[in-house]
Amino acid sequence: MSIGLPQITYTPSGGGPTTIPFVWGPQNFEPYFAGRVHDNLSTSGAVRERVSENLDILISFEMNHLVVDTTMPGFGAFMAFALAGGGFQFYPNASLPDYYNCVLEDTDWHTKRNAPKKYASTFVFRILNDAKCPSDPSVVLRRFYGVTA
Amino acid sequence: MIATTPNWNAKNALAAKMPIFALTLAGQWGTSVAYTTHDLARWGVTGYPAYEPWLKTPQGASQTIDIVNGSSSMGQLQCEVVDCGGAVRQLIGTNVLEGSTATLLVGYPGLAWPDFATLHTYLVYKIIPTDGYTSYYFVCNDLQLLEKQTIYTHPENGEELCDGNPWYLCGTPAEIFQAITLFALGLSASQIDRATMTDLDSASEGIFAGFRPFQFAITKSFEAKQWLETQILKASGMYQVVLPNGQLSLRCMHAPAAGPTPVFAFTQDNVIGLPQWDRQPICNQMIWQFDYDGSQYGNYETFLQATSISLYLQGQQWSLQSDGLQTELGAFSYAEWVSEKMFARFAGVAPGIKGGAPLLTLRSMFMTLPVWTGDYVSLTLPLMPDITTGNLGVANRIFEVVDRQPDYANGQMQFKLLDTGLTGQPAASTWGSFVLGSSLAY
Repeated sequence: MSIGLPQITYTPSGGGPTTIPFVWGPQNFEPYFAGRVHDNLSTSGAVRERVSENLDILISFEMNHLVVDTTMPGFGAFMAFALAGGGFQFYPNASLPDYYNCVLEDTDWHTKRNAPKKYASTFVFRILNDAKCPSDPSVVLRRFYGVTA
Repeated sequence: MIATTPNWNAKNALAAKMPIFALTLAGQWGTSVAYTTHDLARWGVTGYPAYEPWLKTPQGASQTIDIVNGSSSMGQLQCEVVDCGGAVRQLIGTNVLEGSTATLLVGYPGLAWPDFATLHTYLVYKIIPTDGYTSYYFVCNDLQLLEKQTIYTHPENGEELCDGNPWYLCGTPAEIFQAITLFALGLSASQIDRATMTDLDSASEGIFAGFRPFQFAITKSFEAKQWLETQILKASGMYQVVLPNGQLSLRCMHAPAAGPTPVFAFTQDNVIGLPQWDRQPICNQMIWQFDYDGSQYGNYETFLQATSISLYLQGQQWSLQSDGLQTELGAFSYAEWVSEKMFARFAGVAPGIKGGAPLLTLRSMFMTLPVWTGDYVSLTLPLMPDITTGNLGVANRIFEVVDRQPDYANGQMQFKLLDTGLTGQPAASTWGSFVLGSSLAY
């Protein structure tokens, strides 16, 4: 088992496929269920019906060291694309073929200064519920840590 | 009840469920398209057609009936489809979809596509973009939309309806309903529920077989829906129901000869909270006018439910006019028969019921969605007052569904249930018999 670095691939309008390699690993990489559910409790209290619209999977992580003149421009162009609603492929581990079709859940992009030329930012990706979608967030974590099983 | 398969029922009965909705559009633009709320392949649905998973869970379409006035609301369904990559914009920009058949289905993960249950079959009325233009609303109406047409011409000769070219219509309420929908409106036989209409007219039911009291001579234009409701349905204690498959059907406030058979049991395990109570207005006076000669009514008859009037010292007067009711065809006895049935349910004299017929607004779980307007259902609730005894708790009380308001988006249903007064009565009950116009009961 070896932790790898994620990767983002997207295709901007009028351009070809563009890859954002992660030079540094993300921190607090946390995939999680964000269920859209409605609960009905019966009068008797003996039955609780849960009607699920979907059990969506979101991934949140932080990038603490986006460097102004190296990694930041790539992320900036990606954010311009993704904030406008563009879909992209997210590889939790670039050394593995597994990827998920995602969209950006964030509606804005704030960076926080950490050090000269180094800025931090948080990201939340929504995995689209298509055929590539994992069954649960632990699958994303396993791929992130290089586990293929 | 909505037609469902055993596989569907098994999934629907689960306490944890993920309903998958599908909107299919098929019509005159020569192809069909299906939008779903989920990726069918991902959720193990088999045998599905081509689809796009761009549909948002719809609110659903409600249907309300007014038994006393013979009227039914027109159902409207609004489905929002996300405009993925502009594909919906392209579709509606290059095809005429209005007027197409829109079918809303619901299924569950792991089911075969043929197991999906049809919830609504409507006509696409208009398509409009949402505020941000990121999706489109498909606004659909039920088939009663076609009844909103005004009939100007004689269906048999195509000439304008006038004094010199009257359209003579005779028959039972169901026969006249069929004549209007099939001949005047030009609906196909598959768009109406002929089987139920045949049942209503069957001799074994004894409801309308004994009477063919209507004979119209229509000499001027009329709006079909309003005409049917005021001239035929109200005067017969009937109302329209739009079935899940889109068909126009008829129901009668008089129970079938075999008695009302509840198709679903509401219990404290599928009801949410406690039902809200209201009462149907007491109806104990009915004034009929018939024998219309083209300018005025030649006869009238008044029926009073004396027991109800003496009990409540008040009541509501129902006025009924039908241009087609004719004395020589049995209008007097027909009016008496309908009045008796109406009084039995709405005069506050049904066995044990004190006051107007109870009308409950009930919220229930999503699993109750197969219940349909016009259905007979039973209700068992230990916490509900039993007005027939003064005790707490009712068991297997029989109600008629007069309003169905789904909230698919929030996974809940709401119904209005009207007490039938038939609970505990023998089959083929006629809610007790009274000598009309007197205070005697037998």
